[in-house]
Amino acid sequence: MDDSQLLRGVLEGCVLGIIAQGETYGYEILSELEKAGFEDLLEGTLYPVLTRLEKKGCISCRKAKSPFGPIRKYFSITKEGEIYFSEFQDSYAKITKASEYILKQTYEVKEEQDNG
Amino acid sequence: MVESYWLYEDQLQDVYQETFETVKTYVNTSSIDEKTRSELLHSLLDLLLTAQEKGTPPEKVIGSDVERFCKTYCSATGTKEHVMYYLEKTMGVIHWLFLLSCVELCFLLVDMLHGKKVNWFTYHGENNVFQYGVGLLCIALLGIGVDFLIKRHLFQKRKQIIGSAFFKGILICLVVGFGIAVLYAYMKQINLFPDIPCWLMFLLTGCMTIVYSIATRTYRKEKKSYQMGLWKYMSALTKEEGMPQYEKDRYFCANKKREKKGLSKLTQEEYLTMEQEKCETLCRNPFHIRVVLPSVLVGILIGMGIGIWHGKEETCRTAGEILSILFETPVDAVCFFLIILLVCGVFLYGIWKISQKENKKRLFWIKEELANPTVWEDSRLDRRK
Repeated sequence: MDDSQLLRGVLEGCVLGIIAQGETYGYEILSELEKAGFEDLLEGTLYPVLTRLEKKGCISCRKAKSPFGPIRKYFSITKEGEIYFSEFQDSYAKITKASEYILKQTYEVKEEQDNG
Repeated sequence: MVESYWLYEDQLQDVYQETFETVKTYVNTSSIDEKTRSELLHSLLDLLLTAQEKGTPPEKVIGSDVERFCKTYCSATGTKEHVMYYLEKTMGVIHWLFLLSCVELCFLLVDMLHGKKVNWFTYHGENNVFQYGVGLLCIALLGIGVDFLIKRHLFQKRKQIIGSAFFKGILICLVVGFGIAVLYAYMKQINLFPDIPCWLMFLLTGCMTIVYSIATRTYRKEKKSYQMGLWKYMSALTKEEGMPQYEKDRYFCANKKREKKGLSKLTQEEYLTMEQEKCETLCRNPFHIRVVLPSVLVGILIGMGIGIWHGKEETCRTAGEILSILFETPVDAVCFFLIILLVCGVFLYGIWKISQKENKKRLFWIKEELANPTVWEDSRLDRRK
């Protein structure tokens, strides 16, 4: 199954959640996402998300020299971002609860049919 | 110059270097404005350097399909960045149009020396301006087409495109089509470069410049602020890696000259304060305007005098009679002088803008040094040895 649709829905919230923990940058965000289980995520997918969040005003960007020399963007969450993340968490909890209920019911019905 | 990521490219090795080169080519040939391109490449270079440091293969951070990564990476930029790219390109068209107008103006000045009248405002549409406008539009569209089809795809997908029969076919059709068009125009004696009065070309240039300035006002402010930040960053970088040697040499040379004249040596702070004042004065008041502008006006007046001498048929007594030798109507005279002033102003502004960039960079560096001074050493003798 192609899970890109599901990923698209939650990625913004997940990235915002990582940034909410403290000021961070692109590679660190990718590493955190990989640790969490998003294994096939690439900078090419992350960059548009960061751009969208910045345009929405959810994150602010500070440019500074990286230890290697090039300019690195450090992202931190804004007040609007905190509100957006809070709303995301509520919506996600609601959707997850409803989905789990339906999927659990479907699973129980299937089990009964297999046993019956 | 906005881009400076090239300073750190050498740190990349092997596959990381290859990967960066591929993406860099794609980004540099995409229709994204200069500032966004620079930001993308800085981010990518930092990412690859970090991955190299941590031993993460490049495929892990950008994927195995580099082309797909490039498309996604560049498409993250909005429509505004793409529009700005094409608007930046129109400046090239405006520059060429302005230069062509200046060439026309030169021909007009030569005619004036031979006593020919300036009659711009008695122009009654003898030349087909619509045809000229359509021609310009076609050239602009052709330029965009060449940019999109050949330059971008040629560099982004070298092997596939160059080798393909489709590309070769398109290229041959373009060349043959252009050749046929030129031959047809020659045989039918169609004037491909109609004689359009230069005031009209200046007007067209002026209108395009105004539209460009209004459309890109916010973008140019952002770009300027980004450039200032980059210069500040570069001046801080220079500070960490050592002062520019030529600046130190200038300081020691200036002190040597003062010594020869019997004056006291300047301290570093005094020298930098003096240089700061010079840079700030140059920012506010470019000295060359005071020299070049009057020289050009004097030259024009002498040229007009020669033209009047050649063109006069009888004794002229009043200024109006004298001017009527060279100008059909008084409005032609006013327009002529305004255009001369405009052209001089544009050239002087262009020279000032070019020198301003370096001047402002220098000013940033001087302010940084004044804020956090270091001790300079005279190493000129050592270098000579």
